[in-house]
Amino acid sequence: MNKYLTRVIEDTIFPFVAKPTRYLGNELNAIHKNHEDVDITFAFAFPDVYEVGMSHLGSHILYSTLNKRNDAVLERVYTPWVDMEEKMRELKIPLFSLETKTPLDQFDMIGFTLQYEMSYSNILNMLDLAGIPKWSRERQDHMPLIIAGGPCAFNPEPLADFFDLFVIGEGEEVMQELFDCYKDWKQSKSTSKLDLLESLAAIKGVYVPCFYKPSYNMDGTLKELEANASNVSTMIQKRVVKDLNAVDYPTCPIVPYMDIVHDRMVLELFRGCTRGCRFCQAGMIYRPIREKSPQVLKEQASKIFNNTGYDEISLTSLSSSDYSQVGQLTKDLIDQYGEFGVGISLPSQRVDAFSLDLAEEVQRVRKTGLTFAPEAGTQRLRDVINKGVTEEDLLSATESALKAGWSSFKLYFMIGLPTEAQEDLDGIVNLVEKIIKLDQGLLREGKRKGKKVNITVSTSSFVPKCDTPFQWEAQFSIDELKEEQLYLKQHLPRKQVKYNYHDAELSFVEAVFARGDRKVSQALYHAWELGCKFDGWTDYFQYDKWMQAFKEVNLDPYFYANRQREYDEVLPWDHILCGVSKQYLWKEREKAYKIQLTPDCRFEQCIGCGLCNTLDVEMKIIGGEHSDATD
Amino acid sequence: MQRIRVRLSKDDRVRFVSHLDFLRVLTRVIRRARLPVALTQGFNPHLKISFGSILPVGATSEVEYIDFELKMSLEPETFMAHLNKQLPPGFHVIEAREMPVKIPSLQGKLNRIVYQVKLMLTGMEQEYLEDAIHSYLKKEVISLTKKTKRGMKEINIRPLIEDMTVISQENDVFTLELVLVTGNTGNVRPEQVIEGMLKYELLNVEPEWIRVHRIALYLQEGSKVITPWEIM
Repeated sequence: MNKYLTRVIEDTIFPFVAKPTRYLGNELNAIHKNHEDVDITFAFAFPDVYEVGMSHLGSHILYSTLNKRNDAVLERVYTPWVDMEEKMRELKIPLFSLETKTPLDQFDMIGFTLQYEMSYSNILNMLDLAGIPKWSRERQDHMPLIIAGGPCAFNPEPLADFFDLFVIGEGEEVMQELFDCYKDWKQSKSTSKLDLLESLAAIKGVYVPCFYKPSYNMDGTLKELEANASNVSTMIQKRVVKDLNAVDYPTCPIVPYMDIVHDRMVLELFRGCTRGCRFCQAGMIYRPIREKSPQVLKEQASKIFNNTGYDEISLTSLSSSDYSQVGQLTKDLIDQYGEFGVGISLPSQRVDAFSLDLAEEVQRVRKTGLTFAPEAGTQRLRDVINKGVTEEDLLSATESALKAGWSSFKLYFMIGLPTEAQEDLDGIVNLVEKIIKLDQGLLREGKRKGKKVNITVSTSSFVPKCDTPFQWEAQFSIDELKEEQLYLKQHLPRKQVKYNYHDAELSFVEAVFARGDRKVSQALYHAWELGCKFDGWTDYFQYDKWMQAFKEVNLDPYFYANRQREYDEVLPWDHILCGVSKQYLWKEREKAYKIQLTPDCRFEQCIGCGLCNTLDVEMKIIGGEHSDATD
Repeated sequence: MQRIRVRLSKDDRVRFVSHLDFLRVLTRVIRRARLPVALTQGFNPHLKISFGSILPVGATSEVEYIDFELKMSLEPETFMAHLNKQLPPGFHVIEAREMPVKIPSLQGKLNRIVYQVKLMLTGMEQEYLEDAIHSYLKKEVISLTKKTKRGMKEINIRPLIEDMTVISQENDVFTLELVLVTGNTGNVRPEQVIEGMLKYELLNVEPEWIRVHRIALYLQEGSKVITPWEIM
């Protein structure tokens, strides 16, 4: 514990900043170790504010798993909120870990989780607050190793010049290997970071960007990424945990003092999703589906409840109503914990898998609104994106929910999807009008009582992401997106409907970094210099500063966001293998333009995405009700 | 039904945990310990817990009185042990007693709070400080601007300060004792009392830091002092 720093922070900063519990570090179940008793000190950095970072399951998993090692300590650090940053800079307080208030530059390693492109400027700001050089080439050998992982590491190139290494894929196992390797290096008394990076690069799933050099074509596209060290592999394959029942799960998670975004206990039902929505990166990079057994989940629920006392259990995954045992599990959990006032929440339900019984079961304790994500307004466009949901599904799910007493609905759509046209916008409006009409009918016929239906329509703007069938697509221009938002605003019914939409300019900058190469790092650095931070927060996002940064480093952002790529173009992330083949993604793209659906390999035969063979894994469904994908 | 009143302390480690945060802590503690605390009726039931007085963020205390209404009877000692086993480090129940079920709320009754205030005043002399306090208390009106939901508001805090004395000095750190009036006539925080001294230019140095510790809560009726255990 850094007593001096603790005292200064408590007396001269905490009384003057909002929500000081963000920085306390002594929440229930937080782990405190003496740094002298361990070989490896690791600062786990989440480049956003505490209440966002603490809501992220992956952070809790790594915190729990790696702190089980006696030879290592993992401590947390989040981006200090703007008032805190101001105070820290004024008093020259370096960025510190929450648990022991140790300045970040005293750690062996700092690991950032990359959940969202718009948090990149916060990474630079956090390194700056820690007094650590941001460009990896400027860091000396005695300085901490700066590493990263998470979904955005599937295109690591925009950050390649800042990080020493990236971990690709699921962290539970590879991080153990990385720690072992680091410990060996430390015990060998070597002081050369190059030695360390060479041995770390030999670990499967570890990408050390300084060992690769890009060259570019005249038109600015990537020519090749050449390995400039002899022993490194040309392709980095993602890591994947084969059996989720067998790996550690945080059953004693930290319970925050403040009200965070997701303030509840979390059970992870399964990883992966093979519904195959063509815009969805998570659906591609987290394959295959691996369900956890209900017994394991119930044991974990019991431990978490005893260790936290939360009043809500969230059953999470990419598509929770797809869990094969969801009905029975929900019922069992409610039977067990209902009497303690514990409710169950089931995020991400599909309308075609919507079950009224389940919804009622889930909301027995608290009845909140229902959320559906049709994603597109017409059947044609829903088929283009392979959403596989019909208008009938949506209307019948809504009708049964209305009859059962729900009156509040949220509908999520995307605008700017490939092939989208005027009819598709009108489709959104029609769908909403149909629900209102349906509700009026039910009220008139006395089939339901109570308030008129109210609908919140949210549109996000499509951002093409790497490793998806739409990775070659051009994003709609900011003006086009804004026009569509305005159109919806003007045409959606005013009464009973609330319309929210994402900032189009923000989605544009996100698109630059989602598919950027190493050159975009200059713009990121300069944007940080100009004061960009918390870009994911609409109130703090400074579009003019970003455009100034692009201009001043001579980088064309439209080249990255709004340009259609050809099949044979070398993509900046081609060397990072997520397991789904590029050929398959292209085939899916072609099917999108032909408006052809691709089934889910859970329910029908293997669709040939190449993942199971490439990664030597297989899908796991409880009860085994699936065709074997590896046949 | 049964009512148990406890006295709880909050130390340095958790002094920035706000009242609302602590309420959440308590509800989780009760669930972890499976304690039979009663729930209110209605659409959104919540636990029947009530506080003597809300502690300001940043202050420590040894006199946080909390009432719990239970669905079934428990020995106060057992109840206290269960709470202490589950409370996060920094919170501790010191005493627990059974009280009559139907009694007026503590919050409505209490009208005095005693704080111990430590502050660092570089180069300050005890005599100077005592004189300053003396002239401060002689004022009939001490007007401060307070931020409210509707903007800035002038308030007179003088009627809320009953007494203020210097207890001790150690190097530049002074310990004061403040007796403040609380209740429906308004509330003032110890930091605001110090702020008032600065505003009226009675202190020649600004405190480098202030630490506030609550040491007593009671009901003053004429010359009679009634402790929270006797309020029923």
